[in-house]
Amino acid sequence: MGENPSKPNEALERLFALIGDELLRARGQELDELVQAWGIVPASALGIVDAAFKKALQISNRQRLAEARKTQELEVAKLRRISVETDGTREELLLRLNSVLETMRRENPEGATLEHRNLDQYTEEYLRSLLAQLSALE
Amino acid sequence: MPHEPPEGDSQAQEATRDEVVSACLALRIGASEEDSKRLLGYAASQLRMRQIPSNHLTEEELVQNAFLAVLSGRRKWFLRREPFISFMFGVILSLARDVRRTKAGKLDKATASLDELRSRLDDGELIPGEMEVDLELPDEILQAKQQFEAFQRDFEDDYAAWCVLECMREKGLSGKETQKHLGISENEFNAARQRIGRRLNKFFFSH
Repeated sequence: MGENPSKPNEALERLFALIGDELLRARGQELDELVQAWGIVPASALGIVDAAFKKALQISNRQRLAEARKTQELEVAKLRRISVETDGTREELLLRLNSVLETMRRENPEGATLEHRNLDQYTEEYLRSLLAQLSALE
Repeated sequence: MPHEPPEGDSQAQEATRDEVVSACLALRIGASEEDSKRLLGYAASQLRMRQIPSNHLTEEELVQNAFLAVLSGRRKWFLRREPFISFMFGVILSLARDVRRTKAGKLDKATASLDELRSRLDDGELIPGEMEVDLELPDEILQAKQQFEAFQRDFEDDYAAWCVLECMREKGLSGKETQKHLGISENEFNAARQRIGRRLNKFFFSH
């Protein structure tokens, strides 16, 4: 069965959609007459739709570019932060790593399972790499 | 009609941006020129029927907003589900409905000049086609009801079409259900539906 008849707008909406069926069925001269009835000059339709599409494409491309720039800026900021954070002496690296792991464990007690009691056993290069990876997760 | 859903996999598949762009471009060439007329005619009909004045929104701007909604991915085309032109009709219909339902202040957003629209889009303030929609007001429901009834009264000389409209208004029946309910053939139903469609423009231009 159909929809709730207590919603009179739905009947009107169905009526408004009906013209779409007519436009889809009509061809050639019949189509031209139908669009003319709605105030459209058939010969100008192609140019108007073309212009509308080009404008929409321009706006859409501009939006995508703006989004890409924003993402790029965020990535650059993240890389800058990582490069600063991975500088320093071995002791400073250990302090920062312990701090990062502690924060992770606080925020997600079940997720942060890295064993960090034996960080002393790793090389400075490995500690730097580990800190960079953890910073990138933020 | 071009861009019929491809055969094969019955699973609905969301079109990529490139597929959407090619479908849009295809509207402009060869036999698809007719689809440009259909698209613009449909946008014009929606604006006229919803009494949206052209100084608020033109059919060109409505078509442009529909393209933008699709290109930006806010309206998704599932290319195996329906032809592109039918999908675009749906986008235009819903955008026109949103504009009609939106308060005057929000209406401005949909009708801003292109430059203003660009700036608002860039700022992320405006998302065409997804504007805030107000709940339907009792006055609006009453107006819609009266509008439908007035249109139906226009068919007092055409009993079959009047009955089709009655099924639409009172029972909310689909095409097949209407045919069955009225006991008429598909041809009779289509002819009545066509007469209704053809008279819509006269009614909405004169009211």
